[in-house]
Order: sequence, then C-alpha cells, then structure tokens
Amino acid sequence: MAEVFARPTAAHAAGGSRDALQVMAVRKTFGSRDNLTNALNGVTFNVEDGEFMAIMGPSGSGKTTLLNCISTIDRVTSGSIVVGGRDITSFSRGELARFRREELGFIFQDFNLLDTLTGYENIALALTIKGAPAREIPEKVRAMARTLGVDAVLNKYPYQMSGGQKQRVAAARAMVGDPKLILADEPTGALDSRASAVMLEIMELMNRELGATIIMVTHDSFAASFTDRVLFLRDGALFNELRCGDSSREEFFTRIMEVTTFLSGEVGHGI
Amino acid sequence: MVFKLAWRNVRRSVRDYAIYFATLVFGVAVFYAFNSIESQQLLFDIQSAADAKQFQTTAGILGMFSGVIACVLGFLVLYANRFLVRRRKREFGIYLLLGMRPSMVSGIVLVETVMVGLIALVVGLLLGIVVSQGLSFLTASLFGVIMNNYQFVFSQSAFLFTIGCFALIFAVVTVFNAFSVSRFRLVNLLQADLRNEKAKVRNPWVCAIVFVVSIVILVFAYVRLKENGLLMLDDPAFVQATAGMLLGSLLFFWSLAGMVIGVVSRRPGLYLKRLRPFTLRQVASRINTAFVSLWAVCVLLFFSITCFSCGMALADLFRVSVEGASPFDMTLNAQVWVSPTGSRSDAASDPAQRRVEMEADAPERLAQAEAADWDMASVLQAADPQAWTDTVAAWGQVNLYSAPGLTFRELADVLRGSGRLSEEEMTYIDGVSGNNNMQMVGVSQLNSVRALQGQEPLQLGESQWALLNNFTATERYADAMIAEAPQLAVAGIPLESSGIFADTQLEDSSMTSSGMMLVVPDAVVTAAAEQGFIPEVCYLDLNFAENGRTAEENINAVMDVVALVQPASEGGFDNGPGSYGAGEWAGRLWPVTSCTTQESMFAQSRGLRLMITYLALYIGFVFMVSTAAILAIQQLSSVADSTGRYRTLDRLGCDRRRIYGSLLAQICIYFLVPLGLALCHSAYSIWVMHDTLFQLAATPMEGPIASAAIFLLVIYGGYLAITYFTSRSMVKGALQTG
Repeated sequence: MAEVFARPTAAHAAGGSRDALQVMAVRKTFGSRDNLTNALNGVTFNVEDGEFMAIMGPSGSGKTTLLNCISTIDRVTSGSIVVGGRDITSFSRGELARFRREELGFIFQDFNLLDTLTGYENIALALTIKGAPAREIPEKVRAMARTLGVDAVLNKYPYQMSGGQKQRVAAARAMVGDPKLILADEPTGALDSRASAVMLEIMELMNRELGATIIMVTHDSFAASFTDRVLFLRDGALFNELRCGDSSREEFFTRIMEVTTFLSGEVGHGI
Repeated sequence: MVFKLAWRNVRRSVRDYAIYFATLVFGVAVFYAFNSIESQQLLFDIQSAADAKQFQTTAGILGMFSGVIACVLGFLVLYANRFLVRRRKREFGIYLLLGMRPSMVSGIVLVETVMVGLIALVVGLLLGIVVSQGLSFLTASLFGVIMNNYQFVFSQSAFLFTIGCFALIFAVVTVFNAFSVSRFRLVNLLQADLRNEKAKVRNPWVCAIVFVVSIVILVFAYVRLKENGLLMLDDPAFVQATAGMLLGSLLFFWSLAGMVIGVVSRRPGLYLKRLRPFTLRQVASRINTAFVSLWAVCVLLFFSITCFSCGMALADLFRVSVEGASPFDMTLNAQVWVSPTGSRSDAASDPAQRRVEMEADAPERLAQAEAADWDMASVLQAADPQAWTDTVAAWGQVNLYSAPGLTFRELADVLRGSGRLSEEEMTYIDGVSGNNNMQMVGVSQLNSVRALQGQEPLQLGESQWALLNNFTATERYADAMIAEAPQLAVAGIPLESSGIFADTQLEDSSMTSSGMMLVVPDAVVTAAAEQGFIPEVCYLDLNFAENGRTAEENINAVMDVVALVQPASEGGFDNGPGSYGAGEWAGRLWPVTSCTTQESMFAQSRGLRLMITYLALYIGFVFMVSTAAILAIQQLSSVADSTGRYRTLDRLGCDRRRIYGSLLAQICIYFLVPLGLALCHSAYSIWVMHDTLFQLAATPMEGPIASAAIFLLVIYGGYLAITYFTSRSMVKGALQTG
C-alpha cells in the first residue's frame, strides 16, 4: 500500500518538450476576504503528448475547478498553466476564445450539443467557428463521424439520439478540430453502463488511434481504469497518482478502487 | 409578506418587465391622448356650429375605435403576461415546494400584475396628458385655426375611460393568471428548464412545395386585387384577394424556414461559415414554432402601414380638393325627380321618360316647377321678398339636363377613332358610364354662374359646343375630346366644336367634380325641353348681401325662406345645412331638396382631415407598437431559453463579438421577415389604390409614404434596438456566470 502515499515527483513539473500541458503551483481561491475557500491549493502536474489521464477525487476536492482553470472557463488565483509552450493564465479574453477553439476540445457530462442543430452541424460548428474553409468541412466531419461510429445519426437532431450517440457526437465535435488537448468532464456521468463502456472505448480509440491527449475528470473508477494514469485530488491538493503501466485494466481498476475506498473511508472517519 | 415578495420580484425582474412595461405605458398614453380630443375644443375659437359638429363626430369615431384598440391592447397585455409567467415557472415551483399554498402563489402573481399595472397606468396617464397637449397643436394645424389662448387641457372623461378600460384588462389578466398558476403541476414547474425543447423541423421537400403554393396563392391574390382596384369592398374579387393574402401569408411563414434551410444547407460554401448554421437554425426553429403569431404580426403590420400612409394621403386629398370647390356662399340644390323611392337606381333608364314618371307620381310639384319655368329663385323670392332681398345679394342658376341622343358610349366610339386614348381608358369610359347620357348645360345659365364667381362669359356660336370639366379624373378624356373636336348631334341639332374648354365649378361641394359636361346654345336646351326632357339637377348658387350678419345667420335666414315653400306634409328637410337630404322625400321636393354652404364644406373637409389623420395615427401607432412588442417579447423569451446554447458556444471558443453578431442577426431576421412580407403587401395595395383612387385625385403619395417610413423606423426600429440590447445583456450575464 506504499503507493497510496506516494507523491508526484518534482521531476515531472520540470517539464519536457513532449508535454502537452504543464500545471504549476495553481491556486484558486473563492469568496471574499472574510470567508476564503481554497478550492485549489498549489496543484502541480504535467501531461505528456498523447497521454490519456484521469483526475479523480471526492466531491469538493477541486477536480472540476481544476478542469475549468485548464479549459480557461475560470481563472486561476496564482500559478501558471502552460499549453504548447504558452502560459494561458495571462491571456486576454479574445486570446482565450482563440485558444479554446484552436487548441482545446470539450466533452461535457450533459453533452452540451446545440439542440437546434443536426448532429452533422454540431460537429461542423467546431470547424466553422475556427474559420475553416467551407469546402474541407463536409469531408472532415464525415470522416470523424465514421471513426466514432455516429455517421448514422448525422442528420438527426439531438432529441432524436440516444445518450450514448449524443456523447459520441460530442466527442466527434471535440476531435474534429484536431485539438492539442481534449478535456472531458464526467463524460459517462449521464450514460447507462453499456453506453458508458462504448464511450470509454471510443475515447481509448481517440487516444490510441488518433493520438489525442485527453484529460478526463470522473468519479467513476471503472471509467478511470481506461486511462494511462490517474491523479487523485483531495481538498484542493494532489493526494496520489497511479500509473497503469503494463498492468491489465482489471488490475488497474482494483488499484484505483483501493485508493478511492481509502479516500471515502477517510472522509467518513473525518466527520 | 405577499406584498414584500411581489415587490422584490418586480424589482428583480425589471429587465423582463421593461418591454412589457414600456408597451403598457405607450398603450395607456396613446389611449388617453386620442380619447381626450373632444376636450381640446376649449382651446379653439370654434365659431360655427358646423365645426363644432365635425369635432364631435371625430371624437365620437375615435371613441368607437377605442373599443377595437382596447381589445388589441388587452390581447397584448395577456400575451406578454403569459410569457412572463412562463419564464418564472421554476420560481413558482420552488414556492410550492416550500409549502406555499397555490392560492398564495396566485396572490403573489396578482399583486405583481396589479403593481406593474398601476405604475404603468400612472406613468402612462401622465405621458398621455403631455402627449395630448402636443396633439392639440396638431389639431390646430389640421383645423387651420390659430391657437391664441393656449391652456392646459385635462379631459376627465378620457381619464376615466382609460382607467376603466385598463382596469378591465387587468382584471382579465388577473383571472387568467390565477387560473394558470392553479393549474401548474409541481414536477413540470421544477423541470421546466430541463425539458428538452423539441425543435420543430419540417421536411424540406414538403416546405418547398408549400412555399411554391404560397407564392402562387399570393400572386393570385395580387392579380385579383388589381382587378378589384380596392374600390368595391363587397366585390368577390376583393374577398378572394383578401382570403388569398391571408392564406398565402400563413403558408409562407409555415414553409419559409424549412425551405430556406433546405436550400442553404445544401450549399456548404454558403452555409458552413462561422456561426451561420447556428444563427439560421435558431431563427428557423423560432419561425417554425411561432409561425402563427408571425402571420398575425404580418397582417397587423400590413394594416398599420397601409392605414397610416393611405390615411395621410386621404387627409391631404381633402385639404387639396376643397380649394376652389366651394366658390359660393351657399348652394340650394334641387334633385329633380329621382324616382318615387328617391333612389336613382330605381329611376327609368331612359331620361326622356322622367317627365312622364314625375307627372304620374308628383303632378303638383311638376306643375309648380313648370309654372316657374324651373326658376328656383323666383319661387323663393315670392315666398318672402323682404327676407330674400335682405339676405341674398346675387344668384345664378344652372339646370343640368341629360343630352338627348348622346350617351358616353357614343362619345367613346367617336374618341376611339382618334387614337388619343388607350383601349383601357376607353373601356373605362364605357364601363363606368356607357349607357348614361352626357350631361349638358345651357351657355347663358353657365355664364350667370361664371359671373357670380367673377369669370368672363363664354362666347359660344349658335351651332357650337364647348366642354366643361374640372374633375381631375376625367381630364384626360376632356383633353382628348377637345383635341378630337368631333361633330355632335344633340336633341337633333348638329353642333360643331368651338374648341372652348371651361373649368367652372357649378356648386358648393367638397371637391371640384364637374366632369365631361357639354355646354350648348340655349336653343338646344329649349329643344330638349320640347322633347319632354326635364332637368336632372338644378343648382341655385347664392352670394350673401353685405348686411352685417354672420354667415350662419344668413344661412338660417335662407333656410327660413326655403321652409316657407316646402309642403309641410312631406317633412324631411330638417337635416340642416350641409346634409345631402336624399331620403324618400327628396324627389318630390321642388324647388329645394338639399343645400350646401361654403362654410359647411370647409368645416366638413377640416373635420374629415382631422378624423382621418387621427384614425391613421391612432390605429397605425397602436398596431405597430403591439406587433413590435409581441416580437420583442418572443425574442427575449427565446434568448432567455437559450442562454445555455450561448454558453456552449463560448466554451467552444467562439468570440463574444461573433456571439453578439449572431444574436443581432437572429433578432433582425426575426423582426424583418414579417415586416418584409407586410411591406410587400402594403406597397402593392398602395400602388393599386394609387392607380385607382389617388391618381384620379392627383394626390402625391411621396409625403405620406415618407412619413410612414419614418414612423416605422422609429417605432419598429426602436423596439428592435431595445430587444437587441436587452438580449445582449442577458447573454453577457449568462456567459459571465459561466
């Protein structure tokens, strides 16, 4: 059980040219002067190019705040986040929007598809927003839809699709712009177990075959077991890190379960 | 507690209420202002009873229309209110969840409605009082009077009427609200936001077909309208045109969005640009769900624009036409023997038979007239010589006869050979008055009336004809006839053209309307009389003596003389000056069946101008505000429902500038689509009316159209701008809270 207490090595934070993302000493404070809450309390880690990583933690551990900071939806209080060699915490609002459309892809728990648009148009929107040439768009959208198995629902509207189909369309929208980094916030949170498994396989495929770098926030150990590495957050700080290494998914899942059980047990004792 | 909660709610949702409130205030203000017109009378030195009567008529008709306007405003308030309640379903759900009784929730809504209503009523009335002061200046200019004793006008009756109407509207709203709140189901209330709105999507092929059908129907309606010419409103062509426009417009809105999306989305180069798919889909889904209200908006807008611009043109028509149309102080009018029932359509079609008919039905009248040789003045003078001499300084009489043996069809045949008129114009002459005889007047009688208005006498040869015309509509035909100079035979006497053209007004009237009358030597009139023709109409034109009395006193003096020669048993001639007394008795009364005075004609023209201008302003304004408010409320509520979508766009990395751009585009399209179709309909209708009505009266349309455009730009554009800025701040708020 030694690894339970292992801390991320400082060597990672030093960074290398192969890093897609570097998070350095990020703090995020909410509230006024009288009532401060440290949602993130000095978080540091790196994500390598082509890595599939999960962030886990109990409710209130700060995992969604961390993801919001990386996705530039929220601003950090201090620290820096470097993507592709540029510190995004110093960007202006216009640069942030450009950064989001050029370098990031999003998958949300509740899909966030635009319900007035067809599946095809939802995927194409990621490209039109970037100002991609119109003649290239149809081919790219169809190719991505084929890869992710949603070419049958391209002409349907979100309300005509199942949850799993919606999430895969969302994944196609995230991937089609060829982003540096894909951020997924509880992507299986609204799906039943079968659709979850399909979705996770899709994300695995995106990672393996298409070379996408994915950061996934989840509280589901099964979902986390599909990744290469799991970071555990607790009370706004990194608590543990697990790597899949050469172990099978089942073994990795067991190890993740041990940590989550420990975390929830600890929470229980703390009361 | 209910009051505290309600007050907080109102203050918090000021933004939601802004458009509703503004519209209410406008409604109340305009309602009060137009109903207060009657009391503006105080401001002006209205001397004659005729003017005072016109004022009352205008006020009365505006009051009648206020009923319609109140209904429109009531509908608007209900509609806006329904949106506001729907927007807050979740909030009501929480109240219920916390254990509040439904009656209490209804109470909160009630107090809120009443609070907003009361404030709007007070503000609206204050604004209305200010506006009505402004209106009194407009009244002064329309009535052509100078306001030398300006004072603050407050109309108590309008005040109470406004309060009454709006109290009724709010009562209905309150009942409606209480009812809808009591019907809420808790689960629906709480999940109102989560309910995934099914986007209304229509098959593009069906849409394309329906769209084509709608265009065909509209074209058909346009063609029928042109045939009808907007003159006869009970003509089947007009009914078909109206039904076609309504149906065509409805199908147009039903199919438009699906058709456009179907076409545009098949062209990636056009469609896949920035936020275009999003913008178009948003608007399309709005249009598809709200096509019925867009249709209603389009119809109301059409009505508003047409009403406003035609009303203004018509008002101008009355101003222009009365000039020169009433050159005499007074005209006594004798419609000689119309028919036993007094209706012209019952009269014998052959003018030569009229004497026979009159002899059978009113022998004593005919005997009296023929004894006096149809001279009205001699009969009246004999009744009270002293009063006549005191009152009347000069007079002249014209008798209009049907020209024996010369119908308009025969004239048309003569003119057709000239090639000066198009076939269409010939058909017009033929169609309008083909079977009617031309009218003629003897030259010496005409000269007596010309002398009365200071014109030189006409010199007409023994066997010559001249032409009298001052009616704009028939000018072309008159010109053609003078130029063609045909030889005519009237009552068997051949006549050559003298080439003389006269534009003499024969009587006091609201417009110059002597059209295509033949001026003939007196011998021709004598010959016609010998053939058994009697006059159609006699006009006795009077100028009053300089006796120090007012026009009104002189008119009354003449009326007293007229009363002496009317058989008391017939009755009827008690409608007073200015009334065309064409009742059942009219045909029997010789020498006078009705009278017109210069004063009453001017007053009538002023009154009509006032009434038409105010009606056009009133209806135009209320309809325009109502439609703009409906669109604004719909857009705002749609934006409120789709803030989540804008948040998604923001997360996908879309620039704020483009998001706001898309918002502006959506609002503009949504506002301009119904306006576009309405403008198209209006332009066409105005063009048709211009061709048939206004062109005949030579009224320029540029001014009215320009003022309608300004009117439209300010009100409609204003609402559009408010809607955009309000929605932008809503979206901005949603993006900032993340």
